[in-house]
Amino acid sequence: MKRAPLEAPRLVLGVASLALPVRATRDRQLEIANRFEESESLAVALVKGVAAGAEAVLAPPTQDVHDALAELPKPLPILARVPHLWPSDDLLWEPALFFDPGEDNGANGWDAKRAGAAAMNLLPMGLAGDLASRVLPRIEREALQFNAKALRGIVISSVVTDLALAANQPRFIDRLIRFARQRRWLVGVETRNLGHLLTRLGAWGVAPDMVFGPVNPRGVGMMPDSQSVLTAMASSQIKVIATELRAGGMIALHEGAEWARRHGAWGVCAELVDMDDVPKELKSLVVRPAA
Amino acid sequence: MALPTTAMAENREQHPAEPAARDRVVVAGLGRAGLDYACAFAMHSGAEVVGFVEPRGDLRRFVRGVGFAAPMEASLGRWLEKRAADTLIVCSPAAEAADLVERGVHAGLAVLVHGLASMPRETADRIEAAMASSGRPVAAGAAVLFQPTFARARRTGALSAEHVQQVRASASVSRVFSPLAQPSRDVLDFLLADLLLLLDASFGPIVSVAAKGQRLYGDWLDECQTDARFASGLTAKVEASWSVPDYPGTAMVIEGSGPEGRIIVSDDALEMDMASLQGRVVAASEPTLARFEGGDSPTVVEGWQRMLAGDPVCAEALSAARALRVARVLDTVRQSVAADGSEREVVS
Repeated sequence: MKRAPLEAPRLVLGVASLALPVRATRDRQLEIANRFEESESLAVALVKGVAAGAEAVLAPPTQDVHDALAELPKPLPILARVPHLWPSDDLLWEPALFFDPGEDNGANGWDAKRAGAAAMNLLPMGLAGDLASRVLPRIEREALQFNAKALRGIVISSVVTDLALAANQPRFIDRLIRFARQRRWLVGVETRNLGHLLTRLGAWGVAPDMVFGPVNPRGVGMMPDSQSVLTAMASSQIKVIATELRAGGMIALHEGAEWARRHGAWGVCAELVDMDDVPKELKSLVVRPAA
Repeated sequence: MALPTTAMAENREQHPAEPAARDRVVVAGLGRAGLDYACAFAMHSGAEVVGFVEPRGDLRRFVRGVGFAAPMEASLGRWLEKRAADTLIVCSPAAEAADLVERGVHAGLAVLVHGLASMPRETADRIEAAMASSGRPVAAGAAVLFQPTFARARRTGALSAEHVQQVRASASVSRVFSPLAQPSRDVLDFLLADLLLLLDASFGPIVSVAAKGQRLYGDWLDECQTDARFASGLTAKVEASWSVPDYPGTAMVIEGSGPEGRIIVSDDALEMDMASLQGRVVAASEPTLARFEGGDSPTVVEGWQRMLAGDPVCAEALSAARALRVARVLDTVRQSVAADGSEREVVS
């Protein structure tokens, strides 16, 4: 049966706040980490979130997430946030992405089996050092840790996106898009610099299916500044999924989501750390079709 | 399209006009910090990354592969033989940093050194001597001095020797089980240096310390408790630990109390309960200096550009003299730990 083309989701449940520092108070992060310590608790939140109207779960490939998903009898729609970089890597002198934790067995840092047959057209990292060759095997490996039936697409984590942005590398985004589309995955990019990225994507002439970035009424995390982000959103054709809706906890979730949509966001991504009652609050964010 | 709300406009930092000529920047040291600086300068409209210096071929290849096209050399000397620059950013390991600073100063470059406060005393001494002979701007980059709640606490004067008589400070993060922990990267240079920078910026120079340290899982320090005495006579209890579970990011807290009342400031929020200073602000509500987000460097880069334009607040935050003082305090803390907690004077 031919698979219907996927569309960028309007409402996403994000779970990255379980593993990564986010713009919320430390007490709040610790509270959420404690609440979802048991995989059953996280599994219930995820399945209820999807039942309430989340069209996808934006999930890093961490053991907590895999354990929670394994509790469920049916797959949930997943957008894999990859590659996953651990906060504790900041002890390393070398830059993020310099090492690939999955490539320690290959003769020259290359393990074709793990990288996947489809990645064989890429040169070994030691020989071809461009960003795409370095990152795509890891992205594929981490994405394929999710159930193939569940995986709707990939969202490239901001560390990689913003590196390509700063290095002015349209080729990376272009290769990423082709890589994902060959696998019939949606392809999104996460950024902490939404205004800069939308402007560059327009100039580069490349268009991922969606861009995840901060949009909120307080302008928190909107780079280079809030007005530039709004201007870039207004002039870009690329679908923006708004993140950081609560502006670091300063405003209500529904207020942030409504504001982001009113200012041109295609969809919104509510993080676990943003919600006390996941199904109830997600349900309030579902866009109802006009009667 | 609607204009930003009043709330959004309040959150927005007012950026100064761009300088007529862009600052031509060479980044030396292409580790994690160096690449962060390269990204932040590349995205800054007042600067241009014109080159890189890195002795390790694998790191040069990595950065080239990422897409940075500016000329790269293994040494600053070779780079400068062929090209010109205005600013040198030193992000190299301490063992290479002093040579780079000396060479950069000799070539007439403005110099910004990353991580100066945690460098060994001998390196700090050489860098200080080199900087003293420079006629161009010199600075030490530390993002913690641009952290908005601590910056506001200093700006209001609440976090100062005038308003508090007792101080407790702590820095925590979860790193102790990391296989990456090693003698050259312990809790002192990873965590305590930043906290000491904040304390120096708030209360002035530390003149003596008595410190104890614990090695929990290896040959390096995982926890440290320090009693610090400032030149003003103020004393502080300072704790640093990277053995705190569930803290993926660093948490810093400074609490002060005095006859006027109490202040507590962390990277989350600032609370002042004093007769003359009242209020609570959260970090997200504070305007940010940065125009790009990624790593620790964007605020430092914006601060550097403003310092070159004559901004005294940014110049103060980037004070090399403070970073050098803290490097000596850190060295004294290590001596005190080795002497089982006996009090040691900080020799300047």
